Amino acid sequence: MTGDVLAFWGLALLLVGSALAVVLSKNLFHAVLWLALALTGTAGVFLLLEAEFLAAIQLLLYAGGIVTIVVFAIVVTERLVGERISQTSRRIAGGAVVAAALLGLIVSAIVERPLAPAEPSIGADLTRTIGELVQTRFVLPFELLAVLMLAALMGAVYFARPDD
Amino acid sequence: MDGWLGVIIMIALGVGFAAVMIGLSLLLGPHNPTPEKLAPYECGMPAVGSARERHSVKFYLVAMIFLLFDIEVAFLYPWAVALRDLGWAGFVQLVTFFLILSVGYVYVWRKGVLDWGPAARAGRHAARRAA
Repeated sequence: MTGDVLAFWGLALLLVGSALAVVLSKNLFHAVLWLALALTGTAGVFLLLEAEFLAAIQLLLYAGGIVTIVVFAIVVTERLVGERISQTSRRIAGGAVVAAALLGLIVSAIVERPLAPAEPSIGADLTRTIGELVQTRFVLPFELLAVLMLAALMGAVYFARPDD
Repeated sequence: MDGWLGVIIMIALGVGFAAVMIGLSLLLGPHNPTPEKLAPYECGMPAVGSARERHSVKFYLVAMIFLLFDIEVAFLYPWAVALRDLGWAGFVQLVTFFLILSVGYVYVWRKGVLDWGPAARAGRHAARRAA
């Protein structure tokens, strides 16, 4: 149990630190690297919650895919406005107030309705359960997702117009 | 969290090895840079222009396409784990999913997003002249 608690606080420090670095670093590219660290830390949180599938997806899609997309977005748009884009953070104090208010809201919600003392048991293997549910109960949304992704693919190609 | 100790040790070893190597070379290595040493290629062609110029939007498109097919592959994992229980119905559903997305693959291919280099450009110019 203490190992879990230790890992949680370590991950919490890592997450808060890297998230702050994303917002505060001037260099956009450094911000993306910090974002990759933050997303990897989130995968660690999922592992702590014994959601191995979610952790793998988090690494594969977010730390792998989304970070790649953001890197390419920077590379493609750099020099678009004449010089290097640097990140400016204005109204940090106002943002801190909003963040503190949100934290207070979440904490008060947790205090008001305490969490279950014991973890609810899932029983079977989580990944297997997800696979069965996706292919039986949620099969229509699953197939519709393919259509949605098809639309995203065609939209990206259409808007980027590589022929021009 | 059982059984993850090996993974944690592996991560610690990987990060530690990289940190120790870079740190040691920073601490122990001699620092006397010359213009030749700071050039991207110490021997070979002199670099021309800036490395930080804008890249073609095609790179972004390829990243976008990669992400979509990455999501597609992600759905393979839970299906593969539950393969025996789902049987042929699950197989047909997954193949349908892949077929719908392969329409997008064909579209991307025919649009020339996957073509790179001078040959692709020449082909496009020829097509424009013919049109």
